[in-house]
Amino acid sequence: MKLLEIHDLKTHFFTDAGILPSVDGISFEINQGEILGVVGESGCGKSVTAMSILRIIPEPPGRIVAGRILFDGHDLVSMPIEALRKIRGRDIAMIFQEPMTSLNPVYTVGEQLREVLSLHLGLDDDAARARIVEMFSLVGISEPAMRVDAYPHQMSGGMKQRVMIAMALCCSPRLLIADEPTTALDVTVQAQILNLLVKLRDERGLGVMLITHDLGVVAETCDRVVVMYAGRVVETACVQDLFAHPSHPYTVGLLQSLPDAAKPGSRLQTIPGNVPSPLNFPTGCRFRDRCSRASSACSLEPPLHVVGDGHEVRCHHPYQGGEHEHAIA
Amino acid sequence: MSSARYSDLVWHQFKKYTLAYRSLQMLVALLLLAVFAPLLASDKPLLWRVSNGPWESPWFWSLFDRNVYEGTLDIVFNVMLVLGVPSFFLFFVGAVREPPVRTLRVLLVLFGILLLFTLFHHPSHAKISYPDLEKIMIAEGQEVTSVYPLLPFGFQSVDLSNVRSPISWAHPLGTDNAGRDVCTRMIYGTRISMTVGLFSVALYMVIGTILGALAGYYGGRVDALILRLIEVMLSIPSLFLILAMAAFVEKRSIFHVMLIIAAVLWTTPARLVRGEFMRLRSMEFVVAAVASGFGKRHIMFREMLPNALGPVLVTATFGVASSILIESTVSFLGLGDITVPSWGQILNTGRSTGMWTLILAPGIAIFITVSLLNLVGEGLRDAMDPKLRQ
Amino acid sequence: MWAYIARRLLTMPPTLFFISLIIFGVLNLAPGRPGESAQISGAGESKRSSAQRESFRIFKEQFHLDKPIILNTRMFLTADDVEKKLVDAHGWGDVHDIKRRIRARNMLEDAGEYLVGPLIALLDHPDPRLVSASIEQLIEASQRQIKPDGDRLLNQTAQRGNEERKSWRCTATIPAPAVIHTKDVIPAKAGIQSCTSAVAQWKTWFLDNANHYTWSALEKTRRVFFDTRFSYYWRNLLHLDFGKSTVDRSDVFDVVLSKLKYSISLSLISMLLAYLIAVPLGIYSAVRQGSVGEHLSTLALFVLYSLPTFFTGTVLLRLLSEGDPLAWFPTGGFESQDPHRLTTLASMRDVMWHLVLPVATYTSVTLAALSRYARSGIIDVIRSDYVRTARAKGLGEWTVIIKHAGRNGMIPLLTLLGGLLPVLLSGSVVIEVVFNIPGMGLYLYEAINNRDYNAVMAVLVAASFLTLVGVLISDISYAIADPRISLE
Repeated sequence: MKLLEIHDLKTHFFTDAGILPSVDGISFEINQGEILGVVGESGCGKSVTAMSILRIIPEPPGRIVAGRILFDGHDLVSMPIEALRKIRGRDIAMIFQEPMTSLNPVYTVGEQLREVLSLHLGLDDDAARARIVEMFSLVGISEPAMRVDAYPHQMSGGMKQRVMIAMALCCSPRLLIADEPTTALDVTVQAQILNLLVKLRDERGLGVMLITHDLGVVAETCDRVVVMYAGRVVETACVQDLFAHPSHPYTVGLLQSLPDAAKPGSRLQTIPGNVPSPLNFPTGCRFRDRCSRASSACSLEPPLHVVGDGHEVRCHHPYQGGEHEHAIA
Repeated sequence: MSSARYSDLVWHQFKKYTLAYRSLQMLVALLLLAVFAPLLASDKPLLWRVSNGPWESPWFWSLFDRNVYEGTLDIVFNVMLVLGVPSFFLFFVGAVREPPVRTLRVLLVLFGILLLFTLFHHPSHAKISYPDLEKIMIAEGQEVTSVYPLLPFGFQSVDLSNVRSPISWAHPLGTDNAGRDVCTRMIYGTRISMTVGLFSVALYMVIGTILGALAGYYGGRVDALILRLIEVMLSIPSLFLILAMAAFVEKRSIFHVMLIIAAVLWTTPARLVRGEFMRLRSMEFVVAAVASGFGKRHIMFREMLPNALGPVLVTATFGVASSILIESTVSFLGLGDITVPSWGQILNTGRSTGMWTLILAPGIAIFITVSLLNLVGEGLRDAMDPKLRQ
Repeated sequence: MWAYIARRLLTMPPTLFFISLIIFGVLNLAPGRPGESAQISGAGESKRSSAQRESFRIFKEQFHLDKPIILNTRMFLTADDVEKKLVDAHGWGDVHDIKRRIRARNMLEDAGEYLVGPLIALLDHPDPRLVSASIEQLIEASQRQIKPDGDRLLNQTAQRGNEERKSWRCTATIPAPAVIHTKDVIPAKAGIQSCTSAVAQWKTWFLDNANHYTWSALEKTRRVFFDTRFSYYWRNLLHLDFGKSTVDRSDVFDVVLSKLKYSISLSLISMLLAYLIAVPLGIYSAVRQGSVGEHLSTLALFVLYSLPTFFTGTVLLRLLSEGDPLAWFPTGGFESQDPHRLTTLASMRDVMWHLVLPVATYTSVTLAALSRYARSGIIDVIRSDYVRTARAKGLGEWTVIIKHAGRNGMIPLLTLLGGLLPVLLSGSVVIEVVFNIPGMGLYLYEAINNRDYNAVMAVLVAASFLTLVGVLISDISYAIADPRISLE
């Protein structure tokens, strides 16, 4: 069952230097009980997409200029802000990349959770406290009862991220947007948190939009993957398909630059060049300047190819089945 | 990142801030006004001839005359005028095509020689009021031809027959309670404010930078001592201290005021430079310089200081503004140099006499100068902020 | 928490010590001796009459201005040193250097009791003028100080002794040393003879009183360090005794304390007002960035920031109370001439009415300084990650701004509180002078004009103490507002 549908979303930033089309017409959906990975290099519009869903992009300069985001059939974009506030934190919750700075340093973590509980569930202080302790033990915080009254600065990074997750989950949302939740953390903590997400999906049917640039994380946790490049979705596939038959040259490039993809002793491949600046995206396919398969046709908008069941790619010259193997070799 | 390229970068960025850049231009204009003051206002005729006698220029010689310009400050400005006008003209015409650095050096040497000459030379002119002299001579039937500057008044020439005169063509800002031309005094007041601003800031920047550098570089006890000193200085309300110091100087000159301002305000750059040095101390290039066996002085002032100079420059700009404010406050309270036409002094007269021209003219002048400096300082700060640079 | 406050309080005395050290240095080492002008009335040094000189000497003694600043080496003076000084002081030397004469005279005047020993030795000098001069000097140097709080009986004895010794002079044939300018040598014999009885009297007196004027090695060392201006100054400071005003002999510390209420109420009211305006304004301009209102308020604050206080004050006073064109407000002062006739309510209204303009001026300055920080502080916070988190939680915009951005944005303003206090106090001079409010600033201003050394000192120390307290309060409130600051 579809939980969230994004149709042709465009979020632009209007700066002194010009208009930055950070998200420029993307569409995808997230199903219930599914972890959707959103991957891409930094600056490709992943976080802006996530913030657009809850409409928390800094405004000005940012603005959603077009598109629909349907949640339960209601359009979040055109919804009045008061109605959206009831959804924020209750039905759709979000975890941010930086646990260090995402918690307010002057309030105890308990207070920051209590706020959400009393707002959305109307719990009184005692009930809220019980719920917080329960949530803390769920996300694996040791001595949860004591941690309630701790301030963020008294906690480690991993602990703070768990608090963030507990805060996000305390109202039992149906969709969790996790914006690089593990980037700032140690590898061991990373694994624990990812396992927690998987567990929550399995136990509660939680839909998760997991933003990451780490394909390893995607392979381990996600069900489906959306690959973004320069404000556009270039490839959508289920995780097995994506790793087995990547179609978009950019996806292939990303896979090639994974250490495990390279054969022992061979050099690690990289994608030449840099992500173009949003101020001057190339016309047509935005990847064409860095693409080894580019042709003159690429200056036109690339068409959408359906290469498999639920596997779509937006490219003039996608890799056909197995073809990418040669590229990697 | 070489130092020269960095300053070019900052300058380039600074020019993009139109408001700040225009403010800087206006400040330069103000400085020129200070230098050119005698060309605009002086009671000595630029040219003077009695009957068929030779043409004379009492104005020119009065520039170096301690009977006319009692303060050293005015003489320095006058020397700048005498050297500045021709060289400016030469630049303008394009006759001088030398590399500017060399020209500047030549000018600087000339400036020094001329200054020394004037300071030790007393061409003691009698205190003649040329306008009065002219009237007398004409009354005696002599033919006098004279050319005066725009405002034929000295900043100290009292005219008791023309007290509190309103704004007129002859007196663009009227006269004060002693019949002195307010506009003339305002123009010469520019010299005071500019000098106080630049000189005291230069002085305390040097003191503060050296102390801050020592504290930041050596750390430990030196740091603790200097930091304590800074802390203590900061706990004494600065204006109180300045006023108290000014009160105990007999025969205050404007230089005393500058020294006192410098003696109290050095803490700002000291704190700043200390912080910068502590940050730089652990940077690779400093460690490398230490490892290559450079002397401490070399490391501190050649390697580290240029890298710490940016923020110092920004505070210096704001410092000029606050020094000007402090000097005018001190003068306003009657504790400054009472012989010079400082803006604060004029405002003080305005307060005691209740004359609007004497209140508004200096008040607005101070406000504009301080605003311009603050705008330039803000522009400079933004220009140096790598976060804001595109 | 209490431990933190206690520790901070403990660090205050050393800081105050250093502060007083600096103030002491400023007041003592600056050219032009403090207090001198209190007695010099226009006439130059050399023309000063002996009565004036005497009262000046007593004045210097009372305020310890006759003592050396840091180290006292006067007990090591020899007869030769004193002879040279006497010669200089009377202009008998070859050099008619007026400055040197004045220096020598001041030195002899200041050295007081330490001169007695060497002067007694000089009584055997062959030159009658020197003998006579020594005797005159002895009369002055042997004067016992009469402290107002000393033992009465002893005082009377001392007084009698002082009077008695004034008559032990050479008989009239020798011109009074103060007017000797000539090099004509008075016949030696006659001179010496006219002094013999006086010399004898002095020598006998010295035999009886030698114990007052000779010191053991230990006593000498003690006096080197403790019989100094610096030491007396400290002794007085420890007793919170800042001395008496040289203008009206009132206790300066009491006066400063009584003046504090005006200055503090003035600055507290304005500070409160400034915070009340700056904080909402800061929030407004941070939230409505780029709006017309934001631009206008930024412009207004910039103008306020560059306006000199004395200008604003003068203009307001002129415009609104001196009748040019309006005379709404009183022209100065803290309250009406005769406040006792008024009821409490009316007198409060009266004070408020007097304070409108000064507070407005004061607030405008504080506000400008404060708003810049308020705005940038809140802008930083509004862009922060935790405010984004708060929005993502579904909190209303007001809750986000007031609860999550507000408290964090205010933290820098609390630290500013400490730094603002010296600025405010500095501003009080100008405001109080312009509006004629009898607070600490005006007192300082008057003390400075009167060269009232003790009063200036007391104001500076009191103001620094206030600043330290202010910094402590702001540090504590900072620590309360921000849990990241540990008070351990």
